[in-house]
Parts: sequence; structure tokens; C-alpha cells
Amino acid sequence: MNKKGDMRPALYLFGIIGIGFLFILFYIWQGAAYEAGKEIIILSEDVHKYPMLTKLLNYDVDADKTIGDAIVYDELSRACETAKKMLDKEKFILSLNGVDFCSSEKGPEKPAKIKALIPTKDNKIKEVVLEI
Amino acid sequence: MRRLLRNKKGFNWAFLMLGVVLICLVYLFFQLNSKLASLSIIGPNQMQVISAKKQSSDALFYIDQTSRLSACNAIYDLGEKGGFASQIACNKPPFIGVIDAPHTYWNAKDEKCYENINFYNEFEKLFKQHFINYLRIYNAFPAANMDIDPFNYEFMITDDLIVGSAIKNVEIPFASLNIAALSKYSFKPSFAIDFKTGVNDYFKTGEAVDKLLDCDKPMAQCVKDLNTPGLSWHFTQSSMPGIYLFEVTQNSINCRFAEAKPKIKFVLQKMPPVPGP
Repeated sequence: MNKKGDMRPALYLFGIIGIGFLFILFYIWQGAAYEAGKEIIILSEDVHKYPMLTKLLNYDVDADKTIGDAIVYDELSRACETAKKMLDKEKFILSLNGVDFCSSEKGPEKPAKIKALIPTKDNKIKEVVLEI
Repeated sequence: MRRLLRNKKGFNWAFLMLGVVLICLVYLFFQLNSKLASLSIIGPNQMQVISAKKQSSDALFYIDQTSRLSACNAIYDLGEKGGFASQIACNKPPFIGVIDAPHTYWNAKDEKCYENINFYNEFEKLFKQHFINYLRIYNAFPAANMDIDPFNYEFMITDDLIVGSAIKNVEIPFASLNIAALSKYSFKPSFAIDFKTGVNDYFKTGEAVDKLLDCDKPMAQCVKDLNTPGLSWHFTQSSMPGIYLFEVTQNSINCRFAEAKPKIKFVLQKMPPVPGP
């Protein structure tokens, strides 16, 4: 209250405190949306890695053959050698039907698993998985 | 307190603001709360589109790899069959002297069966057999989760390119997408691969065989005189007179790793030159 007994500043103050209180309530409530948002952040971390396996399998071993061809013809050591060159300093593990056949010196810390199906010369299908 | 309540100007103004803010926040709460319930994961629709794209890329990779493998198999098969995907008129009973295997005759008396044959079509027939087979295996494979029609293609084959143009699109339905207009993800499963098919070698071989049949010298000398870069000639003579089994190696083909180069295998009938009087 000021000298003249004018209560308006105090009323404004109460009003602002009330509005502030409502904003705090609203902020706490919308925390639930933040929790839900966590999942999309995790999923989006892998999305940019999706094309990596296809790129790797289409990478040339020589003028006429690719890493994919090497896997098709069961030339896994050749495929691994070229994959290491292509991925350079990346940490990765390559596996075929669940059996690891190529990896960097240190394994990936938080890997995304990217899968692709590949035909083989003996009329079968195998699953190639790149963990990177 | 009494003085506070009596001061109507300040009271009205401050609490009017408070009321307006309260109404706005309550309205906002109900608006957002109804949407929050449907957003257990933010962006499920977008994630469905992204995974459908991933699924289509995987299928396209498999189709590309299948076409490479089928083309390589077709090269070797075509060589074994002497350039003919099916039986031809010149073919005679399979037993030829000491060579106990069926072989494709390229000529019979005056008939030249390798002429007027489009070896690209013959290659395509064999390529298609392998391609269809691999797509059937894919469709039956549970993890593939997709059905690609193997008969949905028109092919164009050249010496160093194979194109498969899909006629119809493949559609991936979205399980629970809310947007009606985007209920399916559609893509064309066409492919184009740079690949040495070596079909031109058959035409070169045909031209060389013309020369061999016209050659008056002994067969070994006639073969030696041939000039066919990229092809290596080897022949054996049957115990039957005038029957030669040829194997022409295609040196430019390099689609397999540890295996021998493909060979064009065929038989020529040519009576040895009769010595003059």
C-alpha cells in the first residue's frame, strides 16, 4: 500500500503471481509430452545410417565385382578386406546369417543394426547385418 | 482487505487479466491433451514412411544383386549350351567319339545354325530363368515380407548393360497410418546394372567359324590364323572323322572369383580337305 492508500499495485502483483502460478502448472503438465518425445529422438539416430549397408555392398572390389558379389560367392575375406578400406576409421561389425566375419579393431559403442537380404550362388538367401 | 475489495478499478483490471489467462490455459490444456493421447511415440506416421522406404531400398538392392548373379549364371550356362538356350535343328545325337557329353552342333552339312540367331535373346531366356527363380525364393522368404512379381519386367540386354523395366509398381500398405491419402508406399522395382554380358563374343565366334569352314588348311592351322581378341580357341578332334569339339574362352568376363572363365562350347562338322590328284 502506498501513501495515498491506493491498492492497485498490490492487486497487479497478485494478478501477476496468479498468472505465474498457472504458467508453472502448465509447464509441469507438458513434461509428459517431453517424456513421449524421447522415443523419436532414439529412432532418428539410426535413420541416417540406413543407406550405409547398401552403399557398402555396392562398393567395388575390382572393376567388375562388388562387396555384395564377394558375399554371394562366399569370398568373405575379400569382402572384409574391401569393407575395411571403405569404412576406414568407422567402428563396425559385419555378419552373415548371425556369424561375424568382419569387424574393426574396436567394436561400435552404440551400434545401429542395419540388415539386408542377399542371394547366394547356391540358390539361397542370407541375411547380412552391419552394426555401426 | 476491505480497502482492497473497495478499490474496484485495480481489482477489475488485474483479475480480468487473470481470468483471460486462465481461460486460455484451460483451452490450451484440452487442445494439447487430446493430441498427447495419440502421440505415445512422436511421429509414428513419419517413421512408417521411413521404414517403408527402407524396405523398398532393401528390395531394390536384392533385385540388383539378383540380376548380377543371374547374369553371371546366364553367361556360364549359355557357354555350356553353345549359345542356344534351347534345342536347335543342327543338334545331333549327343555321343561324339570319345567325348561323352551332349554338345551343340553349330552346323550340319551345309546348314549353319549359328547364323540368323539373336544371341541376345538366347541370353535373355537363360537370364530370365535365374532371375525368376531368385525372386521366387525371395517372395517365399519370411523375413523379406514383400511380394515382387517376377513376371513384371521387360528386359533390355546389351554387351555391358542389363536393364529391367518394371511394368507395375510394388505397393507397401501402411498398417495404421492416419492420413488416408498416404495409405500405401509405392515404388517401381526396376533396375539397371553395368555388367559385361559377353554376348558379342558369340557373334565374333560365328564370324570366325565362317572362316574355319571356308579354310582349306588343316583345322589347327585355320584356328591359329584366326584373329579374335579377347577369345582363346581350343579344339579337340573326335574319333569320328570331321567332328571337332570347340571351347572358346571368353577372357573379358570376370564375374566370378575363383572359377575358370566361361567357355563357348560347340561342335563343328567339317570334312578334311581331300588331297588333289
